[in-house]
Amino acid sequence: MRLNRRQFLSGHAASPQCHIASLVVQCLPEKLDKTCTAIEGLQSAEIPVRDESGKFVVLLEMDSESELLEKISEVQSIPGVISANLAYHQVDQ
Amino acid sequence: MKASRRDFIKANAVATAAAAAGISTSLSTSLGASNLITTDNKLKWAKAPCRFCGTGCSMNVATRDNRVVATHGDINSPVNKGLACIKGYFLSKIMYGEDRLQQPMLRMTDGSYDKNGEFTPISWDAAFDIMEEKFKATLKEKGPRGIGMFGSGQWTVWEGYAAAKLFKAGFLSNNIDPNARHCMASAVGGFMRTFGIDEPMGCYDDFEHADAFVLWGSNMAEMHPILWTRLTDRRLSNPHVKVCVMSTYEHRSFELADIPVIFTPQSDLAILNYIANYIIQNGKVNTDFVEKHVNFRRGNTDIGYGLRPENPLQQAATNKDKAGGSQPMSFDEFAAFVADYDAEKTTKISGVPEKQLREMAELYADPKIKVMSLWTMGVNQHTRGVWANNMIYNLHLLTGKISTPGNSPFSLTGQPSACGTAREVGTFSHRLPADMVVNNPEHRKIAEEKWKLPAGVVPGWVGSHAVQQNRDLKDGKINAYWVQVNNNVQAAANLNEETLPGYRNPDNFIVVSDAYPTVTAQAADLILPTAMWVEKEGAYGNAERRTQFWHQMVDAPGESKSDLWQLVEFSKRFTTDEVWPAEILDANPEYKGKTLYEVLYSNGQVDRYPLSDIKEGFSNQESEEFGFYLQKGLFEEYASFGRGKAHDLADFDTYHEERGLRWPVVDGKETRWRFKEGSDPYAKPGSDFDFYGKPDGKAVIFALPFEPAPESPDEEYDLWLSTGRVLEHWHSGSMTRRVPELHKAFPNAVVFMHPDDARKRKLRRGDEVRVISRRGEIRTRVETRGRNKPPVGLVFVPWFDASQLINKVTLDAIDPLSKQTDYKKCAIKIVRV
Amino acid sequence: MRNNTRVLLLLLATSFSAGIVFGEDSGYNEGGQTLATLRDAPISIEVTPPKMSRVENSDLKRKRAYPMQPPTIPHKIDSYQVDLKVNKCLSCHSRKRIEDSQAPMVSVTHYMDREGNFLADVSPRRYFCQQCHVTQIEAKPLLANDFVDIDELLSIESSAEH
Repeated sequence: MRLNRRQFLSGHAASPQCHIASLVVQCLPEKLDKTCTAIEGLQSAEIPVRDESGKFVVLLEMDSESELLEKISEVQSIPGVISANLAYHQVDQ
Repeated sequence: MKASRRDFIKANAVATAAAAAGISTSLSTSLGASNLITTDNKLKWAKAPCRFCGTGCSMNVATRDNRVVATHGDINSPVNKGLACIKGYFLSKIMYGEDRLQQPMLRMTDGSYDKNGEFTPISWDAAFDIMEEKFKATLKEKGPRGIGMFGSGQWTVWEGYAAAKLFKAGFLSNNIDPNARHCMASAVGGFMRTFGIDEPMGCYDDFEHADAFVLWGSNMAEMHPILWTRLTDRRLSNPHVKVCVMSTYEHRSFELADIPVIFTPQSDLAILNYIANYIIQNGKVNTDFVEKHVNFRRGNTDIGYGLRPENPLQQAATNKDKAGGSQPMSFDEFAAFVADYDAEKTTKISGVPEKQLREMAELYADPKIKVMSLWTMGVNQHTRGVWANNMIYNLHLLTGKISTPGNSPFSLTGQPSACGTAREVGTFSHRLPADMVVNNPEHRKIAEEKWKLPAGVVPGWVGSHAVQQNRDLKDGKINAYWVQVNNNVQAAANLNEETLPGYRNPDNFIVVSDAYPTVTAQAADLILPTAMWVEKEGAYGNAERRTQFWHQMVDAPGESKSDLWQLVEFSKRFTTDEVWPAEILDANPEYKGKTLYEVLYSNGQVDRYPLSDIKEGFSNQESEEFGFYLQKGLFEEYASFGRGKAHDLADFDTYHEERGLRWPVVDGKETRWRFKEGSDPYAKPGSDFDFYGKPDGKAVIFALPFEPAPESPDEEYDLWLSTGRVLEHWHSGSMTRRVPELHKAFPNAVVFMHPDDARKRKLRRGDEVRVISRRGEIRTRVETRGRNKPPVGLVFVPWFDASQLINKVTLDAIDPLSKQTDYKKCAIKIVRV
Repeated sequence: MRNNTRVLLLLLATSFSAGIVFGEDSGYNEGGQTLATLRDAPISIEVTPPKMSRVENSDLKRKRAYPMQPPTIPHKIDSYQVDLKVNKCLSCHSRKRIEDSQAPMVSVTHYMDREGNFLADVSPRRYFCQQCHVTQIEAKPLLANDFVDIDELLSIESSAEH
């Protein structure tokens, strides 16, 4: 893990992480609205892009990897979700 | 797209997922496209000197679709070798402030001109109609002395030349002055008095040869940043090199100082005499050089401060009418004169410890040290500015440290146009091209012949200089006045008592050409929208005599026109019958009934070059309109004045190819060190050094004393005020404050003061204060940290900020010799709001 | 062009309510209109200057207007020493230090001398960083600038074609 400028200058090493990830989710087209509403109800999840075919993108922003994995499981367990796959993951300090 | 780093990651995350899912989003397309390098992304590059300071860096300018899209330092330029300062890098944005003036505007009420009316857009024809009416009425009533012009810092060589010609040979009025009067007049006076010819003998190559640099009041780190990089390079690459930085307050240049010197304002005169004395007392005079190449003269003293005649200080001055006078003296008499300035006395006057004085003096005295002196506004904006210039030359002449690589008294130039335009083409109220002057009948005769005009047409009276013009406006002596692209309402000292009453005097008609609505435009009656920089073809000459050209690269916005077009087009509205004396026309009937355009510009010389000479791929608005290559014609006519007279310029087309050439250019070769046999073709064989500006080839060492400033702190007005620039802003900020990055680097003026001075007045950093002089006041905020660290007793306020007009506070005292204002010294008090 | 009349009236009102006395009555007419866009008051009247703002300290890289533009400094540099003895900026931004600092390395051009030869270290001619790189104060631009960068220009071009 790298330090940012201020940590470097001040000699502090501890740094909170930020995990940014996106998922591609497929649900039944007729349940799109209902499913999306349920996912948007989860903390730290957004749906920036959706398509009438039932596909949409979920953007997650979490503090740690374990929290991220937990959140993905939550999304997968929402009723109506057929599949939810990780498309992108970056750790930002 | 404005995004923080994290937003950017998120956008990437979304785009990647969307792409994987085959969903189209606006986000994904914009991100995708930004990574492609398949578009036709060619830019058109051309060179142009920078629009800002007198260093004259060459810039590469990229254009596309008639817009400037990028600028950077020209790698091929010997001046800057790829570098640019922060202002230079942002040149791309100076023309694109959203409030560019694009149409003439006249103060009107109910459809006609009214001095108290509202600015109303009008056509160019209507603008020139009213202007013509007012200029003609004034000429009829008061003659040529009733009109005046104040010229631009952006004037190209041919614009200054066309303006000087229009006024001096067209309207027959010498009431024309450039804003270089505020900037370089004392330097010119110094050159003419000591050497009899203007501009530095050395060049920028001296930076790579000198062993010591002495900055006389100059803050090069901020004001000439690219020359500072050359000096820094020399100092850090060569540990033996010494840098002495002298100023009345500590600033950024002190970061490189081996000898940092803070002196009391005005005491530079005493220090200069101390060093001369030190050189003599320690037997370090280069006797051989002095005997062969130098004369000594005693200058007149007690010459006043160029204030209005009724001012008590002015009345008390014994030599106010003979300020420039001097008498010959011997070396021994000179030695006795400066003997008065010993270390003890000089320390008392200057506050500089004796040890520092000696260290400084040794840089000049030690024959092994090649020394470069550098100065600008600290020396020039000085009520004894010409003296101070003379006295710096004294040191170099006593030791023979001149005109050879690294031995260089170097007068830095303020503006890009000061050397090439203002000084060389003769836009000062007393000058003609190539260092000639209006009150010399021989010089006038030469000018009349070159211009193919009747004998006796050019007036011999010295016109009103910049400061006098404002006084004349207030007194109603000048009634029709044209200010071309400079912001004198923000610049000229004593705004409340002189400038503003003059501009708003109901008897006066004030025309202001500008690119932006400045405070000067606001004080005007008619505003003419004006092209700037690469919106026209141009030429500037920099501080090392380097003449540089550029092409027109983009069109000016709206109806904006260049200064040149305005001058030449306006000349069509006057005939010789209207403005020349009947006796001249009777003696030369062939000039009768001609327009000034015909006698000055389409005169068989200026209109000699066809449009086909214009380089392919570049437009040229003025030439296309007038039907001939106007700039080339003007340049070649002007250049004929200097060729064969040690001011030789190359031919026009050469300059469009070269990264500039340093005059005199003889047989295609530029001159780096003047006055030195072997490097200057004008130095006579066998002379070794030849100061050929003087009839006997000898330069002059002047005996001149310390004299006090016209106003110093007292019990009530207890602080010195110094004013100046900051790195990020150019002069009055009309260009740089419209560039967001430069504005955010230094948004508003502040008063820099010593923490003890703040504490004494119960002030803290950021407090609002009034800065008050006997003439006016501003409101600003206290800065006790940052780049400038004044000593106790002095404050510094930059003048770029139109919302804090510090020129209400400054004193309009001038050097009686150069007529240049001292912006560095007046007495003020600071009061909490 | 922006109409400043309203801003001016507001300023005048503020000044009056604060009981501030203007300088001497100028006694001449400036005309009715305020035109100078960088000054929201008549020439004869001085008003309260804006408060001093802080330096932007977000550490976020900013967009550059063109590739050769020197990046502005996205952090405070108060009391950074850069003089004959030391250069604080290079203690993070030099090639030797960036692995530890994760700061951007000064551009390779900074390792070249006047003649374009590469040097072992940063060129002395580039020693004073602030000649080209400046911090940004939390201040709003006074006016919009209509500069269009090349990407925008190309996209305008391509949309004009379609």
